[in-house]
Amino acid sequence: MTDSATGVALVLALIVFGALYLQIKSRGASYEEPWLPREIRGAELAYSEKRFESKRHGLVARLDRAYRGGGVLHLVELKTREYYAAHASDAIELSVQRIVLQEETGERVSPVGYVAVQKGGQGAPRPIRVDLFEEDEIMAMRERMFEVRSGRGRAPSPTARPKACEKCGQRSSCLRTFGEPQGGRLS
Amino acid sequence: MNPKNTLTEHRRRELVSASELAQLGYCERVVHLDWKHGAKRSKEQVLAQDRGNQAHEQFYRDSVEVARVSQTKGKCFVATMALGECAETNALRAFRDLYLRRSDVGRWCIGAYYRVSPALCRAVETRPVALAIVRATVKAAAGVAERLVARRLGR
Repeated sequence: MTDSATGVALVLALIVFGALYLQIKSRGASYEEPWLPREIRGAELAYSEKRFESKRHGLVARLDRAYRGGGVLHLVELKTREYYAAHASDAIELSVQRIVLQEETGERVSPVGYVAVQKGGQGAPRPIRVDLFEEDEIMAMRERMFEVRSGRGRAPSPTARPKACEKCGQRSSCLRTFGEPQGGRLS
Repeated sequence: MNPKNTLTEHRRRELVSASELAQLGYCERVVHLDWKHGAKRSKEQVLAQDRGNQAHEQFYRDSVEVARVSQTKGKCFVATMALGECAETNALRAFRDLYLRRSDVGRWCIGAYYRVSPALCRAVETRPVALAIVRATVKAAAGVAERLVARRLGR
């Protein structure tokens, strides 16, 4: 086929394609979710609400969603909050998901994840991009968790957000055990 | 066996969940107290948890819908009907990821393609002449895509 014939064929295909699209658009449901970050819009939803584990790492996670795009899996974790922000705890959760997903599927998972924050539990979520922790950092945190549970090692640190103490169910036990956190008095 | 080693071995094997570890990033004191005395949640925390669970249920229902509509992608006429799984279809996928997915117009084209392809499949699969035309067109497009992908990847 000559180059000009190829060009004509491509243009014709484009016209047919456009016409069909316009016809189907009027009655077809959209599968795209406009709130998704640009990097994964149009990517294939690979996993949803699925549990993965890694016995080698001693970790388990249930992920909200993982999208496959550009040969990489991208993690999305939904959070309902009164404000749009991502915390260190979100990055830890997504990092564990990354480790177990990579381990179980053998597929590469992006070192960047998304926290989809839904304000007040309503409306479209807003994605916040977070850099994930490395595997050795997560394994160190896992060790630290056992230390904290058993009361070994350095004393457990208070939250970085003292405002969170106001609504914490362990507040009275915390005050009895550890006293006032530094940097402010609990009301 | 040394009891200390047994304890270490047990910890090594114990599965720690993502949410348990995330709690550590929230507040180490809560991790300690939950472990020692059992989890205690305030009324506000229970309400927030309920709201979160409801949002997750809706999120999952949305996922099912997204997956259902995305399944139509499986009936992609380029890959499964015109050419099958081969180097040309890989070139078209690479073109999609390297060129189309990087712009709004490109993503619109991808979305439009996935919506249109099942209907085209149904229309063409029982018509040998139409199928031959589609196959030739797609093969030509794959050739162009292959050259553009090679250029982008500096091959």
